[in-house]
Amino acid sequence: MTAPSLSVCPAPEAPPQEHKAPRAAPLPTAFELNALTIAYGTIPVLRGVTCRIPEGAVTAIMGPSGCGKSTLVKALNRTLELTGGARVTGGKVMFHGQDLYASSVDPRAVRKAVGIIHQRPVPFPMSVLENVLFGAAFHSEIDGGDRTAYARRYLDRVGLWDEVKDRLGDRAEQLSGGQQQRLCLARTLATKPKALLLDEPCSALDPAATRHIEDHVRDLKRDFPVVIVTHNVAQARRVSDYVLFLYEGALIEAGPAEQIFTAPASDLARAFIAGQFG
Amino acid sequence: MIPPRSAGCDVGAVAAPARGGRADGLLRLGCWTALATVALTLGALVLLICHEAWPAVSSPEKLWTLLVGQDWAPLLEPPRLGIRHAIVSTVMVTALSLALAVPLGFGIGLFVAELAPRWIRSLLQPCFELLAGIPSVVYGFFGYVTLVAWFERYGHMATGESLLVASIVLAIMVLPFIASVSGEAFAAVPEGLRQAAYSVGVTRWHVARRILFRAAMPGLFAAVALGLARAVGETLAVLLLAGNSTALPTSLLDRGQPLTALIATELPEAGVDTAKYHALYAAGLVLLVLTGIINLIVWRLKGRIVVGHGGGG
Amino acid sequence: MSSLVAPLRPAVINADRLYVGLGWLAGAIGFALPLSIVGYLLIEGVGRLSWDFLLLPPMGYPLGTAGGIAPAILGSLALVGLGLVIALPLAVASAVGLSEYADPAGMAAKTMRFATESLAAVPAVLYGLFGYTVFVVFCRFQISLLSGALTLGLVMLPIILIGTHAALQAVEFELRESVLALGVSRAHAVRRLFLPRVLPSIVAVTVLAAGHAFGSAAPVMFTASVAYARGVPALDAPVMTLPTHLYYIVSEAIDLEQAYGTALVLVLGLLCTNVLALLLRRWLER
Repeated sequence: MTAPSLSVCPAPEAPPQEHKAPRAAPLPTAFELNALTIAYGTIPVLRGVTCRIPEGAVTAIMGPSGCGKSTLVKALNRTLELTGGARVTGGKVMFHGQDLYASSVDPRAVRKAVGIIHQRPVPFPMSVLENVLFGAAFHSEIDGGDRTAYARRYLDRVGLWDEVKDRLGDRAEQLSGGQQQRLCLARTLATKPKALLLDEPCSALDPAATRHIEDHVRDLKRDFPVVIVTHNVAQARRVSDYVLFLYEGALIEAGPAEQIFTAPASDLARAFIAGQFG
Repeated sequence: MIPPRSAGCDVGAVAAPARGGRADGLLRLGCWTALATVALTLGALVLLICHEAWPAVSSPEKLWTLLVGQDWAPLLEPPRLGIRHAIVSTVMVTALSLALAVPLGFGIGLFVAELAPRWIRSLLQPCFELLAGIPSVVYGFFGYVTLVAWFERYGHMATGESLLVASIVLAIMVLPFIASVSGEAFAAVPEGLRQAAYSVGVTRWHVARRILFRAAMPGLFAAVALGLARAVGETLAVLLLAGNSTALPTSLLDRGQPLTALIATELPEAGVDTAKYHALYAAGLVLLVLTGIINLIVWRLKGRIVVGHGGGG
Repeated sequence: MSSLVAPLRPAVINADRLYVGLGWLAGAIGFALPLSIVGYLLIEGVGRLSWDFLLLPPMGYPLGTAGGIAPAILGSLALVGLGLVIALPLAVASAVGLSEYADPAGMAAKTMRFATESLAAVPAVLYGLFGYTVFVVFCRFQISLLSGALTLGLVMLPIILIGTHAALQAVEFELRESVLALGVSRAHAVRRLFLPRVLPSIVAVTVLAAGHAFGSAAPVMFTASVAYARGVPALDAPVMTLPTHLYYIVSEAIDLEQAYGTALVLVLGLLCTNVLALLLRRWLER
């Protein structure tokens, strides 16, 4: 192994699945990034990232602070452009074969199809029930059915129903931090997305709440691809099937979690996993 | 937002357009219309004043006559329509009121930022708002029953109105603006700077004099400019207090007629499209230019303040 | 006793003491000035207030030496009310447009912001000039409630616009991001989340703008007001207003008694709007 250069972009066809589960067929691709380049104004933040994110698996995007993880993940559902000055300056993001940034594509449709949970829980200033139903009601997912029953399905999914079933009318800000984050998760799931992104979802939570979220993440991958951004190596180890390692805006290494954590190919990844920098 | 044309043959992941496009478009249209109306109104204001003032300023001789050459005697034959008395009145009244208000205003600002305990600070804030909210005409009335009456009684003047009285009241009117903006400017000086200065053992006055004034300079300029703009634009107070004399004032105890008072007094009697009408609009143009320049300075200074202190707010 | 820690020179200490003393003096003046002015007007005026004063029109000879100022109160309220009907929707819609739909770094947004702040700084008498030429003469609305309300609406517009825009900008980015990340339209987000959230600020700034307009004489002097009117204000007729009435009484030296009363009503109006705005701000911060 020679010392890696910073602009190594591994080939998209790095063979992950063969090592991991030799009997299972290779997982289909959910997202495909092709030389994705993003800049904030004139400052480049992401340089030519090319990789695949598979269906039915949890993909962790790892790296030290400032390496572009959040930027990458926000680009996947077009919430990046909500930040002033941030633009995709090159490359493509394909989701199930569709170019998300094509001019014919409505960004709002993308955001409905690809949900995101942010670092800090953001409860809307309304009741718990209204929070859960906010996006779903707009997109007419409920359509005349029983609103409480609809909400219950997703609150159950995140394990919150028992805790809030008597407090559906209470303001969401009154919940604890962990509960609020699960509420945000339920809110996003209620819009019936086809993929889920989590941007450091546990960094503001205590260990018990963190464990909750991680359990749900593992559970959710049965339904759609889950992409989780984390700088916590232990968490990535616990949760992910597939790992992308970023450093200073470039993709250094990509592969199955097992392989990356036991035998990373690049020195940077090895040093990061060993905790030598963060 | 263009809804996607073809659904594509995949899972329909992003194919279906999101709902609500029509409401969004309607709101967007309404907002842009409102914005356009506002922009047009400002444009119309400026254009109208320029247009109606044009006949009085269309040549250098006319401009000179208007601003410097002639006095105001519209009833003579031929009518004399120079506004130099108004310009001089405005300058005198504004200069004196700022001379009174700026030192006091800075003093209050320093007090609020440096010396006052928090409970006093929170009491002073509503006081400023009170002072700033009193209508101009009420200030004029107040000055009339106090200052003018005193001058008449003790100054042995026939009428107590004068540029001096107007200046004093004007100073009170601009005081809250200068005090609060300069107070904010002083408070925005980074704590680290103060600490570093105090740590070499100097007194509070020394820090204020050598450090605070310098560091808060853009904000202080903005405060003065704000006060200046208000003083120049005040109408009713000077209308009641300055005396409304069309003679060229030579001292502060003279009566005068600032630009705003000139317009307010003469406009009702000016027929549309007469020479007097255009002259009054020319006075308005002078006002507009003055406040425009001052406003531009404030705008630029505000940019400097925010940048300099890393976004206070 | 060594001179390791030498005391400062007396001149320096005295300069500092003088500074502190003057500072406190300045603070005291800053405190005393508004209180004494408002206090004076309240004390002098309260004796002249009566139900008659508030409910009757001016009477006596010359007009204004007896009776009351009821038409002026009605006229001022009508002007401000109608002006708000014109200004408020325009201002809020423009603020929403600036905040939600315009590219904040773009030329259009910057120009609009400079334009509105300039508008806010234009002297009131120029609004009167504009209103006179455009509404009274050109549109042929004559000197009337309508002309005055339009002019006054123009005066209030930039104040409400700037305040609403600032409130919308203050909505936390994370909230904005989370709402839009669900794929809802901006209109939905504005209607369901942002506007309700900034409503207290909008009301507060509207109250302040209305209070400012209530006491402004210059914009209505040549567009709406007349020395004497009776009855209920009508759209196409001139009206009396409190500030212009005060001006006429004082400048024509008619009756100081009425003047004190009128000034008091104006000051009471000011106090009400200030207190209201303060209460709203307190409610905001809860």
